Amino acid sequence: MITDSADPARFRVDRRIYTDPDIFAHELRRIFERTWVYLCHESQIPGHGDYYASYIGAQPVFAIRQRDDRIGAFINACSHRGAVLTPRRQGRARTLVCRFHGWCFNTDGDCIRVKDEAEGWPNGIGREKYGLTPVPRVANYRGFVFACLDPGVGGLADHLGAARPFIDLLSDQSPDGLEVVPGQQTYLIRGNWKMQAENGVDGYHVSTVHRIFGQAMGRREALGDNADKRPTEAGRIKGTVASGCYDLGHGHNMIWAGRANPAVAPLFEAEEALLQRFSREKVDWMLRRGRNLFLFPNVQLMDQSSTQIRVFRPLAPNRTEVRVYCIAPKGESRAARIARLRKFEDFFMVTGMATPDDLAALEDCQIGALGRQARWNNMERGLEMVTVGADAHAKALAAEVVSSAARWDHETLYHGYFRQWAALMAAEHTAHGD
Amino acid sequence: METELYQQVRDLLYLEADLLDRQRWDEWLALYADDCVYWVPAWLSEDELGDDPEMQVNMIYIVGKPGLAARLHRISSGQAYAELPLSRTSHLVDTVRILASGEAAVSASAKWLTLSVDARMGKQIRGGWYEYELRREAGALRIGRKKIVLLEDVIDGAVDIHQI
Repeated sequence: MITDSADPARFRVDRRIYTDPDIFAHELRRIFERTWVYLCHESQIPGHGDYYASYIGAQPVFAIRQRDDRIGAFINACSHRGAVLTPRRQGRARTLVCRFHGWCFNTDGDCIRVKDEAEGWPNGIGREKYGLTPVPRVANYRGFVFACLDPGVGGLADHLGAARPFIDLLSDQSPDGLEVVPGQQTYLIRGNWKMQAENGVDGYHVSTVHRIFGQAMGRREALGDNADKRPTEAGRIKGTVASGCYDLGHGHNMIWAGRANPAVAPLFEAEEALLQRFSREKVDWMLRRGRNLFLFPNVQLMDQSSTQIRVFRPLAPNRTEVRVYCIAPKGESRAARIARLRKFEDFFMVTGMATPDDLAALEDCQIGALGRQARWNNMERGLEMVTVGADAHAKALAAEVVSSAARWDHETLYHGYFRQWAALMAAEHTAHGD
Repeated sequence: METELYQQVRDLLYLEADLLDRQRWDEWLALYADDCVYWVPAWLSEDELGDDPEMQVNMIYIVGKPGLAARLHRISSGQAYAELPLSRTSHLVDTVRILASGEAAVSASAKWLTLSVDARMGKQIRGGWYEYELRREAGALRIGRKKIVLLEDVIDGAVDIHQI
């Protein structure tokens, strides 16, 4: 499926990995059910009983804030006949009541009530045997909550590895932490989940696909836009700023591009406060380099003129659900929040002026991948110029990256991602509940 | 018995929809006041619609005509990947009601359905409600504020302003 060899330099990918139903079924079991999958941000479930319903691969789960502030996760199915327990995507339920037959569960997953128990089970049903099935591993890294269905998986911090310092660049933006801003968008794309994973960290498409975005913004500004908009940073669309990309290992990767005008970034107001807490190098990373970070296999954290959590879920080889949230530092000024939100709507929404073009491009790749007579995707751009290990910018954060490239439009960042994919797909399926 | 004002409001809403379907963008834009607000709130949850456009994520929130002009530029440029070819649309606007009318302004609401047809997405029907603040300017009505409620909270494909 993947040709990966150093001599001659070659990295290519069989387009069948985006279209084949058998490969898709294996991905759900071998990747999504075996590695850490992003669920939600802790600010979305702040109080006891707050839940967030999601999926790990094809399996419905929910995360819930338990007593003592812990976060747990369970398979979202009543232990009786399997009905989903959460009426909404997000809500609060200190007692989860199954709406089918009325069985009740507490936030630890214990079955605390069986309707008409004495009548149907005169000797008692043994409620203690009917707790909810827990997701065996749940962990929180700097507010971002992940879970894994495989109890034998390694620790989350090890899994995130070299991506951690780049997550910290978000989590450290306010001493009070981050919050998900009210309002979200969910959309369905006609593309494989990996198309979404790849598009979000593809620096190479920006100057073609988003040229029209830059033009439209230029037109708005030229017409004397009087709304709460800050000028668009056209530099990264035109490719005139410094940039780079990293293979972070374990399938994670990242692109970055310098901000020609960092003062328009919503976070810029916090520069002095950040310098009190962190090194100049780290604050420069926060303020002066826009970043798209992909955490294998299902979430992207974008920190550009706005800030986004983009989480996706595979539905079918050619269908993916994508949910986007604006995440922001708690306590930022009203003006910064407004600027962040308006930029979010312009670029990151499927009702905006950039995301629809991203989707159309990846959906065209999905169609093209059906052309079996033309088999290979070339992913070699930058291969002869790549730096093994960390460049100076990554070293400033002590990020032990696998490789560094001096342009964000190189494709070497994908190599570790495909290697992780191939390694998980090749490994024997571990026996957990099969 | 339809009042003259009701006819005037209804005709404006029908005209606006028809200009979008005919892709007569400049004439459509001319219906809006210079300081217009064009707002499509996002859903906060399955049954709660956004109500604070400044401080929440919206699907679209445009204040002032330049923002609308930029969107028209993108969809009509032939250079936006998603808009080539541009979808064909047909709006149905009905259930027009006048909610309030004063010396300077009129509030009205309506329901809408749009059929969009394009090569990428096939046939799609989207729908919802409109709320308008219309201004009386030199004997005519101009759109000061338009709020579009899009009923979908999970959106299949992309949506642009000619489709809602």
